Parts: sequence; C-alpha cells; structure tokens
Amino acid sequence: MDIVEVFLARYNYWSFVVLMLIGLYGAIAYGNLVKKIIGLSVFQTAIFLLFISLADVGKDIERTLGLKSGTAPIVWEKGIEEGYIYVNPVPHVLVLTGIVVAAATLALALALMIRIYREYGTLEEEEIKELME
Amino acid sequence: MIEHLPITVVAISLLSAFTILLSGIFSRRAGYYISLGTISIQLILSLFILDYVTKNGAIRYWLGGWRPPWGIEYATDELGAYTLFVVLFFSLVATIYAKKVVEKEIEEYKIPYFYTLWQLLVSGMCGVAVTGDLFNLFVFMEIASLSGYTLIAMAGKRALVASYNYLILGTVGISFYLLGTAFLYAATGTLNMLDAKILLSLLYENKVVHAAFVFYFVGLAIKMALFPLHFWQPDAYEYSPSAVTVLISTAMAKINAYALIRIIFSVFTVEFLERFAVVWELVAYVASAAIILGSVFAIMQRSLKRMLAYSSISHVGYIVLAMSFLNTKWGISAAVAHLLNHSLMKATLFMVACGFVYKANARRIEDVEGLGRKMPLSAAAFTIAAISMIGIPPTVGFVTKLYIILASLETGKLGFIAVMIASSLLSLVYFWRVIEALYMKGNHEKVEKDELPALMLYPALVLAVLCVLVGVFWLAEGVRFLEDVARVLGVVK
Repeated sequence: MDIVEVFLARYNYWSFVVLMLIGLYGAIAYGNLVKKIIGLSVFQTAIFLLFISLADVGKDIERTLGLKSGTAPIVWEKGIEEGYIYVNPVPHVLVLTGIVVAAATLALALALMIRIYREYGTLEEEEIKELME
Repeated sequence: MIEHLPITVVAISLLSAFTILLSGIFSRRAGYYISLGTISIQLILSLFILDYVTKNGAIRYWLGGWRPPWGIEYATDELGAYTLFVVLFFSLVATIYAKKVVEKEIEEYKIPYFYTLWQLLVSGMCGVAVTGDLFNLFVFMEIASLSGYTLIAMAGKRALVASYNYLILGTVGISFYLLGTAFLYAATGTLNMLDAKILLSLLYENKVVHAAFVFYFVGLAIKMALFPLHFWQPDAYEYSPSAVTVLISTAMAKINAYALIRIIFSVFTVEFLERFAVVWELVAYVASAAIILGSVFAIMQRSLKRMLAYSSISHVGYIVLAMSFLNTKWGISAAVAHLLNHSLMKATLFMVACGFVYKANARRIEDVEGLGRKMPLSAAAFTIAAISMIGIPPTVGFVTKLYIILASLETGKLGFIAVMIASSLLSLVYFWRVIEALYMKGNHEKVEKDELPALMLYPALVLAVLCVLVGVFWLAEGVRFLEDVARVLGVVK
C-alpha cells in the first residue's frame, strides 16, 4: 500500500499523535500560564480522541467483513444479521468521565491563575519567579 | 459482611466530606472532629480488612453485583489492604497533628473547606488502595490529586505557584497513565486488572502493550517524583501548609508508589518484565542516580523543609530500585516495607520541622540552633527519625537497606551495595548538620523549655518510637507477611 494511503486510512490516530505532541509542547514549553493550560487541554482532548477512535468500528469493518459501519449502541431492530454492528460503548463512557475530570482540572487551574494574578500582577512565569525572590 | 468493607471505607469517607461541607454552615470547628471520627472508623475497618485478607486471601467485591470484566471490581489483596492501613494510619496521625497548625495557618472562614478537601484527599487515596479496575484507579487518583493541589494552594502567595506547577506536571503524569490505559484497552479490551493480567500473557510481544507499559511507568514516575521528573515536588512540600506537607509527603507519595507496584506486578507480571532485562537495568541505574543525587541536593539546601523534600526524592529511588530486582523476594519486600518505613520517618521529621516553624519560625537550618534545649522532646523525636534515615539498626531505615543489600547479594548485582552505603553516608552528612545545630550550636545558657502543644508533640513522639518498634517487627514477624505479598504479586512461586 502507498504510504499516503496508510496515513489517510488511520487519519484519526495520526491526528491524535499530532494533537498530543502540540498539547504536550504547549504545556511544557510556554512561559505564559494561560498558554500552558491551553496546551494541557489540547493534550487531554487528544487522549479522548484516541479513546473514541478505539471504539469506532467504522470503515474497516465495511471493507473486511462486509458489515455496515457502527451504529449507536442501543437496542435496535437492525442487528448483525442485517449487516449492522454496534460501536463499542465502553470508551465513550470512559471519555465522559475523563471530560469531567479534565473540566475540574481546568476550573481549578483557572481559579489558581486568578489568585496568582491578584498576588503577583502578572501571568508570565519569568516575572513571577523574579517577584518570588 | 467483611466482603462489603472495602466499598464502605470509601463510601463513608466521601459522605463525610459532604457532611463537613454542610456542617461548615453551623460550626467552623466541627469539620476537624468529623474528619477525625471518620478516619478513625476507616482505620478500624481497614484493620478488619487486613486481618481477613491475610487469613482468607483477596476480597473481590463486585459493584452493583455486575460480574467482572463488565462491572467494576474492588479487588483488595494483601498489598492493597496493607496500603489502605498505611494510608489511613498516616492520615489519622496527620489529622490529629493538623488541629493547631491549621488554626494558625489557615484563615478561620476557610477551615470547613480545608477539612472537606482533606477528607476528599483521604477518600481518593483509599479508593486507589482498594480498587481492582484500571480506570477506577485513574478517577480516584484524580480525586486525590485535585484536592491535593487545592490544599497546597491554601497557604497563599508562594504556594499558589507551587500548586500551579504541581497541577501542570501532575495532570501530564495522570494523562500518561490514561494513555497507557487506552493502549492496554486497545490491546486487550478489558479494564479489570486480573482480567488484563490473564489476557496480556498472550500479548507480551505486542508493540502496543510495550507502549502502554512505558506510558504507565513514565506517568506514575512523574506522580511519585522519581529523580529526573521531580521538579514539582520540592516547592510543593516546602510552601504548602504544615499539616498538608505531613499528609502528602507520607500518604500521598506512597499511594503513587503503590499504584506503580500494582501496575507493574499485578497487571504486567514479572514474566513480561524479564523480557526487558536491559531496560530494567537502566531503571535500576536511574533509581540509583535518584538515591545519590537526591541526597546531594539535600546537602545543598539551607531550608529544613526543602532538605527533607529532596531526601524524599532519594527515598522514592529506594522503592524503584527495590522493585527492579525482579526475581527475588527481598527486592519486593524492601519496596513494600519501605512504603511504611519511609512514611514513619518522613512524617516524624516533617512534623518536627513544621513544629519548629510553628513555635520559633525557624525555616532555615541555622535558625534551629539551640532548639534542642528549648524543645527537648521534639528534638529527640527528630533525632531518632534522622538516625533511622541514616540506617542504624534496628530502626526501619536499616531494615529497608538490609533487604536491598540481601536482594543485591542474591541477584549478584553487588554495585547496589555501594549505592546503599554511599546514600547512608550522604544522609549522615545532611542530618548531622541539623543535629549539630539542634544540640551543639547556639547559646549554652539555661533556656526556658517551650515545647510544642500536646496535639502536635505526641504524634511525632509516637511515630519516633514506632520507627524502632516497626524495625524490630520487620526483622522478626513481618518477614512472613512480606513473603505472602511477594507470592501474591507473583515474584516468588
């Protein structure tokens, strides 16, 4: 198979990798506290994207088994006999919990940032370090 | 009846957190007593669990009656029950200690919120100790971490920045853990630890499983502050409120180490790790570097709390080094025993160090000069714990070092004996400075005795005595328990 084709066939996993690296870089490299948080959020969201990708049975199943791509995991008259298959619901549940945790972390980080701004009058890490001396 | 206790321990703790929040409307002081009562009850329950588990084997509790691998399972084996007991014991001691310091350091209107978060932190840690589900472990760890960040930030100005840095690195660490779980789920399709262990035995060559292992290891290494990934830790320990320092440096630090032991031995098993002997040797070298450099950094510090924080980094190295001797029971025994040993020593040291700040506002090592005469009992507790850190028999510090030396003799990796001796000598250097300042420097005239309040002094004294008694226990009776743990974890057949 052509390399481009391999890349495109797994585009969701590749976008997970790219987003995760962008997020990690943002969280570690920037000196501005707001930018760090943005990076962290991108990083966490990338992981949720990976979980969702794992659940999806999408195009592969169409090609290999001849089944129609995944539907919502609810009781439905069309089953595997008619060529339909369910999406795995477990990763969706995990992501739901993960999003709640990520939202709590984000809220706490923003609250801390407000307090830091009130104490130091800046959100740049270098300036805060100078003021802490 | 006993089978329901693991969930009860977590449930009453969570309920108590909300009760404290509500009680704050009526009384600002009630929170302390509710928290103290709850943690005492939890400790008693954890003793029942420990007793039952050592006699009858693991408790497997299915939440809502859903069978694993579909439902969530609480699997509490010897190691889990032991960790639960250790965590609750140190939470109780830290809570008793907290009353006076919290009244001094935290604004009065914040006290109910303080104890709410305190109780949530304890709930999260208990949850990690009892759960047998990989995703559940993530959720409980986040409950504990988020309350931990907030508690650290309560000290104000400098603590805010320390808490923020801890939040960023802690979240990156826990996200790596989640990523490892995603990869493991992709490879096996299960989140249950026991189920994953069975399914993984067919997949040891799978690249996705290798990636999952690396993410787990790095993520938890950040959380437990293993040497090159420790940057958040010294600030977080130094600037947080005294009571919080005692709690997170003992219970919280140990729960992360427990999670690592749990993942490595209960999910990935020794057979998997043996295939990567080279990597594991590298881990042992990193841990040795952590032991040596943690002590060297500790020697360079002038602040007493920061010195103790760096010595914690050194002791995290001990736990990881002990785990890296895969095939001998002494290695895992040292790691498991050190969960309790290090907590005993570090809790005593931090309690007294925070007591010096409380009484004499002595943050730097030269500030404590002459306090050995002014506060003889606290200084004695500090000295006993310091002797234990150096590793003089029969204290707990000696037991860990003995087990690691036995492990290196058994596996033929004799270089680590030198690491143990070097670390003992380096600990002697940095603790001697403090002991010298306490007893030999300062003015020699008669000084008025001015001890810590009873609620702060007695926990430190009791822990200092336990440093010696528990050391004797590990050398005599405890060996059998450690053998059981090694068998449960599959290290010895």
